[in-house]
Amino acid sequence: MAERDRGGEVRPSADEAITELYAAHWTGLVRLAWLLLRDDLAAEEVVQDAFIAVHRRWDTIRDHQAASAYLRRAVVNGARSGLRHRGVEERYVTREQQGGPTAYARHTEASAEDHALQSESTTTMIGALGRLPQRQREVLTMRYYLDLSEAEIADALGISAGSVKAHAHRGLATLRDRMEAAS
Amino acid sequence: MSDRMDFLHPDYEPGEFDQVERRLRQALVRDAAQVRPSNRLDTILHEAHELGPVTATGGSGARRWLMPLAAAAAVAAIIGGVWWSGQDDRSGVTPPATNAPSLSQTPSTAPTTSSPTTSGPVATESVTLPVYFVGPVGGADDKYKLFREFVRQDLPVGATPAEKAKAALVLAINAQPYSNTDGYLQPWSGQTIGDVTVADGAITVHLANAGVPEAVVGDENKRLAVQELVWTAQAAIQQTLPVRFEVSGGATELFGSISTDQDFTRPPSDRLYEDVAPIWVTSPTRDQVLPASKPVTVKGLAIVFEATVNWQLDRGTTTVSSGHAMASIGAPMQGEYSFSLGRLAAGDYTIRVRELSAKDGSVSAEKAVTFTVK
Repeated sequence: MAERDRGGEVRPSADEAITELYAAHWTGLVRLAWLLLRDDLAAEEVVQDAFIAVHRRWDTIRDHQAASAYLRRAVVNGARSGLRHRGVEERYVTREQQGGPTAYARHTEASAEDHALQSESTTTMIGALGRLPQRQREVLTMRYYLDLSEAEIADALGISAGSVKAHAHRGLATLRDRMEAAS
Repeated sequence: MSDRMDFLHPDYEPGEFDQVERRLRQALVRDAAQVRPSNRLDTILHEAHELGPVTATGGSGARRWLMPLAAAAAVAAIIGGVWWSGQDDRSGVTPPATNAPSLSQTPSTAPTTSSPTTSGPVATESVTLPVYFVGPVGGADDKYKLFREFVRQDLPVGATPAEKAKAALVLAINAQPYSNTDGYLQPWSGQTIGDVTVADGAITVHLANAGVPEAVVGDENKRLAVQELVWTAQAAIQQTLPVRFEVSGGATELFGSISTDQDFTRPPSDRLYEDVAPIWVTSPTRDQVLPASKPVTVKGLAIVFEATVNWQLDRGTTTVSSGHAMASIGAPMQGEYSFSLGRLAAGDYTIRVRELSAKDGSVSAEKAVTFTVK
């Protein structure tokens, strides 16, 4: 059983570890995934899968800090492959919808309602962020939503610290230009 | 304001982006605050257990990333709710036996209630067990099939698969908590689960009695009553080992008609409909309370003609909305479906997910779940 070390020493079981990690990170990571994916259901799925993966690898991960980093990497990767798949899924849905309206349009439905509730400035900023290249969006979201350090972001994205700086700089510059244009 | 020097690019002018950073931070926080993630801890723990630990040699994780989104590829994950995909993932990677090293160490005579060999008081942990029940399919013809519930239960830390199976079976024979809300049958009332052993490639379940024939109407429901124990035991140990029954006092027929001289198992994935109800709703869960700030998403599993499910949302006697959605695959396979109800005003609701008959459009299966928005 995973709960018991080879030496017979009891350490936190995968269940206990995941329960603690869940308490600490579930909401933040789902929100991060949602910021990247803009889809409630997909965001939860991606983060759920990340937690399941950590649970299944707990014997090799073993500590919370490593697990947090693993979760972030998994969520960012999951969100990215989610975006790739969404193209496929949306084409499929469009085809399905030719016979009439379906209840399938959850991406657009949710975001339309969300926008109505947001202040205009938030909407403008989020809109501008959404038009940035994917990498810049990821870096800025992790930086300014999760307050991650440059090193943590570099680790999560699998890029160098220098690239993180460069993406952040370019992204912020574009946002500043768009905010100035909008005001 | 940037409080981290490590984040500054050499090209930054001091204060250059202060304003943008502040507004971006604020926008992200406000935007994300409307997302109220549902509680998935139980699901995570359950699925992780069903898939089992990843061994040093076997990396089955990569495929899992794609599953929730790649509907077509998700077929394996859908059957029995990811449970079968664990089997798929493991085949050719790790022999099943290595996932359950304790199986062969369980002497067939050991009472499954024996505590693990820890010193001092036995620590318990809360685990989520999938438990199957016989319930009404919800069509006009009064048929019954299996439904799955996730039930939380305290078990000793490090409980063996046999101990988990016994705990799950004890829950399965008590359908009383669900009989009023979901109409689940209580074919096993008066039953007691004895020893449960996992050995020699089979699960053996000892029953105190053979079941009362009069307690279950019809041969098919008697068969399903046995199958609910089979599905529950296999799900608990996370392997499709054959299930055998032994009855105290030497009776050889369950419910007076089903021979115990045979191995029981679940049907293959293209014949799940023999046992499994056409429509399962996995989310929202029964009487779940959801925040009004967030759109409500309905999810479930369905074995339905042309992969189409119809739904109707009722509030009291008023129908609020209705529509249809596609499952990831149609009958005879079990597909995953999900659809959004949008944001709902506070109140009590019932979501009815249906299969309509291809012949005449009548409701051939329906599962209803009540939930509250506030």
